[in-house]
Amino acid sequence: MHRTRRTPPSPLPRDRATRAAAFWTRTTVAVAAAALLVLGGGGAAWAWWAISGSLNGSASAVQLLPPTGLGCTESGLLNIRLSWTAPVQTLPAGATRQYVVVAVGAGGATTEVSAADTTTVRTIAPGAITQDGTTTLAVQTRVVLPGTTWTSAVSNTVGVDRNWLFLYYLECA
Amino acid sequence: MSMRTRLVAVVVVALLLSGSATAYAAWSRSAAMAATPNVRSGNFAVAVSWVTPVPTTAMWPGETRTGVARVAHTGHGRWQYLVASATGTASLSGLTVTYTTFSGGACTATAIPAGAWSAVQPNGTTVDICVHATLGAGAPSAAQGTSSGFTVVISGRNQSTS
Repeated sequence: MHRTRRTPPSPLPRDRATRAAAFWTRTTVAVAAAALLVLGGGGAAWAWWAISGSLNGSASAVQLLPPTGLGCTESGLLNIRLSWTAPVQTLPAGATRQYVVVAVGAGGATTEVSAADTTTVRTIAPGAITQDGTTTLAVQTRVVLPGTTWTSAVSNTVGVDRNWLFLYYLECA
Repeated sequence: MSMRTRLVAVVVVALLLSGSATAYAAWSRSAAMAATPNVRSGNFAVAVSWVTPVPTTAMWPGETRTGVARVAHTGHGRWQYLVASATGTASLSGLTVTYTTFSGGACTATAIPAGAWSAVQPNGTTVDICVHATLGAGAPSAAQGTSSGFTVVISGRNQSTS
C-alpha cells in the first residue's frame, strides 16, 4: 500500500528583512562573546613572594631650662628688684632667649607681671602687683624660635608684700 | 552558504583578528629528559637592619636626626622594596619621619615616597635608606621634654629573573 508522506504544516510566513535582522543580532552576540573569552583569558596570573621586616627608632624634644637663683632686693622707695642666673643651655641658630616674671597663683597658674626681656634683672613697681598681701613671684625662660615660642617651667619663687596702708609699696617678703 | 557556515566563518575571523596569545597554534618538538630530572622552586629573602640608628639626641623645633637603614636581598630573581610610613610618632607632637636615598657615602635629597614600590633591583643587591626624624618648626611648647618611639616597616617582593 502506498503510504502518503505527510509534510509538516508550513510556519507562518515571515518577512525576509525580519529574518535577516534576527540572524545578524544572534551572530553579533556570538562573536562578541567569543572575542571576550579569547581576550579575557590570555593573561598570566603573577604571584609575588613578599616579606617584611621592621626597624625601631626614637626621637625626643628638648626640655627648656628655667632660670635659677631668683632673688629679691628692695630698690628705691616703692619698687623691688629681682635678679636670677641664666640657664646653661645652647640654643639653635635663629633663636632668642628672653625672661618673663610671673605671679604664681593657685594650682601653679601663672600671670605675667612684666614683659619678656633678655636681661637677668627686673625692677617691679607696685602697679605691676595687683594683689594685696603677699604675692609669689617666679621667672620663666622664653625662647623665641622661627616657627614657635617655647616657655620653660617656673624658677624658684620669692614672695613680695604689697601694703595699701603706706601708699602701696612693695617689699621682699 | 548556509546560516551556520556563515556564523562559523564570522567567529573564526573574530578569533584571528583579536590577536590574543592564546589563539596561536605552536610548532613544537619534544626531547627525552634525564632519568632523574630535578624541578625545584627558588627562594627569596630580604633582611632589614640599622647601619646607623637615628640618634636620640633631643631636638629643638625644626631640627632633624638621621639614621641609615639597610635592606639586603638574597635568593633568586630580581626584587623590589617598599618603605611604609612610620608608625607610633604621635607621642611627640610635631614629629615626622621621612626617607631619602643614600649614595656616595651620604644621604641625598632624593625622596623615597612612603608606601610605593621601588624600581626593580638586581638580584642579590643591598639598598641603604636614610631615615630622617624631624621635629616640626611649629611644634608647640607642650612638646618639650617628650619623646616617641617609632617603627618603620620595610617590605620586599620578588620579581622575574629577567
